[in-house]
Amino acid sequence: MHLDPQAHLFHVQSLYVQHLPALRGFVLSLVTDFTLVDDVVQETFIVVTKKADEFQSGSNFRAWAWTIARFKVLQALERARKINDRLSLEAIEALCAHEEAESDWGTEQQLGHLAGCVEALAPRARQAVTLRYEQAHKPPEIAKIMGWSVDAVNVALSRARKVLRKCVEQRISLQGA
Amino acid sequence: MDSEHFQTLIHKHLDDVMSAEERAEFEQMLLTSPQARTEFWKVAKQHAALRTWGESRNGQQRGTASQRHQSRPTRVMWALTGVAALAAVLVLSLISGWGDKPATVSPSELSQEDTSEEYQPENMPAEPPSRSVAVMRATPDVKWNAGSTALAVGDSLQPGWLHLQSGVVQLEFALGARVVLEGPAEFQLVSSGEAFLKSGKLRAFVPEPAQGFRINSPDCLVVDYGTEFGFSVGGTGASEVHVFKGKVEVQPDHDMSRKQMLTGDQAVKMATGGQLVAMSANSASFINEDELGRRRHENSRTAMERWRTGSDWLRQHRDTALYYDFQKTHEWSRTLVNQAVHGLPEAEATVVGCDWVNGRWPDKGALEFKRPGDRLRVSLPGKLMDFSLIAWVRVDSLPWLQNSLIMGDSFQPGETHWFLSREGNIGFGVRNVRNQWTSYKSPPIITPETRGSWVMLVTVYRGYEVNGTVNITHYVNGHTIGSIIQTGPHTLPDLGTFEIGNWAVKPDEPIWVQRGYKSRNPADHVRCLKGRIDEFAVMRGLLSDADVARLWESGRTE
Repeated sequence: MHLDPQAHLFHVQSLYVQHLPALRGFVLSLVTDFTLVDDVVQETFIVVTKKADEFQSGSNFRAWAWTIARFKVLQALERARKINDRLSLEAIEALCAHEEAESDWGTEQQLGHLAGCVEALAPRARQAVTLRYEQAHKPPEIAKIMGWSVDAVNVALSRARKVLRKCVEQRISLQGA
Repeated sequence: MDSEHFQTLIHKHLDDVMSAEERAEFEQMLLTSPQARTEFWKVAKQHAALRTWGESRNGQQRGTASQRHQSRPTRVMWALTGVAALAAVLVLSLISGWGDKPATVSPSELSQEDTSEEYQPENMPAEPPSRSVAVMRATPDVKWNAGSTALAVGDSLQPGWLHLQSGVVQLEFALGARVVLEGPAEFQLVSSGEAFLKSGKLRAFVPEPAQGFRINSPDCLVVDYGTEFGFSVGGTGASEVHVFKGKVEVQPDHDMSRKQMLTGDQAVKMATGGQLVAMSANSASFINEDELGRRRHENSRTAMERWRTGSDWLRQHRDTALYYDFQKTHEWSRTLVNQAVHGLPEAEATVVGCDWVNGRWPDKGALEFKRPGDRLRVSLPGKLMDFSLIAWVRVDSLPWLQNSLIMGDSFQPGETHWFLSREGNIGFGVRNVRNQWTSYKSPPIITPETRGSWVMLVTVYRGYEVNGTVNITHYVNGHTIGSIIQTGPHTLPDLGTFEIGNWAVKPDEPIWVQRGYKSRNPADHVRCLKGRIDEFAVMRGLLSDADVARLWESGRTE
């Protein structure tokens, strides 16, 4: 079936929007800086739009879009970071090759459980998590706000994430049973 | 690999607190160990999910604030940042926090309140195969029972119930049978060749290809072998079958062995014990298609007359700057003349794409916004102090973060946006001197049930009321649904060149980037309306509650 160019573009953009949550997660994991993520995601969208006619309907949209996103990640890191302050090209390529297409990036169900699990955290841990993920502060800023050392914030955050991961897994398996 | 240590490194990477030495070690592990890479993505996915949670929570909190607002009858102002709340009267500030980088603030900031990251268009181009078994053709005077979906002409119907309180609907089954159903009625669509009448009255027309069309009732089954019959199920449940033309088979109690064939002018009634009592057919007691057509016409005529009083009021009002009544003069007319008597004659709307279709009534014209390129372009020069926007819209779906009613594209202070959000809220915003938005979003008003129905949307903007505040009020179908007072800084709205039902901005055209377009949300530039518009006005002045109610009275569909 051959769509007219306008309809095809529309189709490609719709696919993009469908994959957006996963794409954002993918980009976030590699560039780490929350403020850079929006730029990369948007630049990816512009390329996807420009090159829409190169995408063949029915082929693997995810693989196609991820290639563009990976390139944009590398570009953004090169622009924004000094060479020894960013992941190397090789490390990023190795990670990308290992990212599985089927795996999900936060289903509705997971996100629902996650919200419940955050509520169940100890108050200070919950505050750190909120400052990090809702207010988008980095650990040094969180340390200032909470009157902790940066190390303490790092430890609190990684502990909280471990607790949350277990909690979500547990709730999902309980629901499954 | 020291798994505990590697975990720590992943977290440090994700939190962006990694030293160069740690990074070297981290990369070494990633390059040499597949297990390390798997572990990385596991933790990273959870990190991303948390960020999604954090961002959506941000949106939710603002959402809650406006819901609180909804339940209060008085005008409430609410504080987001930086503005002191004054005791009982709260003060709402701008959606701020973007002031530190004005050059990058875009119109999409208006959508900050609904930027949960998981949005998806609701009608993807690749639609699943349709389960439609019938199409709604006509609905004069129809009232649906509370809680049931209001259906409009042209709607596709899937198997399911129609709960009709009063009025008449006409259904076309996919296999060709037509049914005129009179309310009150409880009617179930079973398949493209079968239905169930629990109570109510219908007249069926069964052409050759639809022979074998079946209608069940609680106490009998009717199979049609051609042409026309009436079928009623009374409150007590006793069915009557009247054959006007052709042949119909009736099975009392769904018992094959007792089936009976009726021909023209014969009728039967189910008596207790499943007995069939013969009677003569009474065609007059079942509404026929001619009568239906007459009623539709009559209905439309009365409604159009009522509408014309409101339409004339708008056309002649000294404050009306723009008025389009969407009554087409020719099939090929590609401009809408500005009908406002005191408006600028050159402020006509150029129609791009958009097919002419029926509006609220068969004799009312409308333009349909269906394809991504469908749009009206308008120029209305001059700054506005107080103004009111009025539109009659039939929303078919809301696939985008912002679905345009009007969208300016000057990227200058004064640029004005009016839209429906994906969640069904009315959004309104004026770009101010700080490149932020003086904006207000109503509680949700377009729900899946109201899609496909005509609604009257009004937004009234009162500029510089007291101490540099502005007041924005949204109305739906004649009633206020929310009002807000915002403190400055403000800019006089300046509609300039804008689009109705679309937005001109395309991210791959350099001109928009030069003007300052930068979206936080990709695909956010896609804002084309999916639906119809059949009346639109801009007034340089304030509509009162009573004015809005009167306009609604004159233009409402039921």
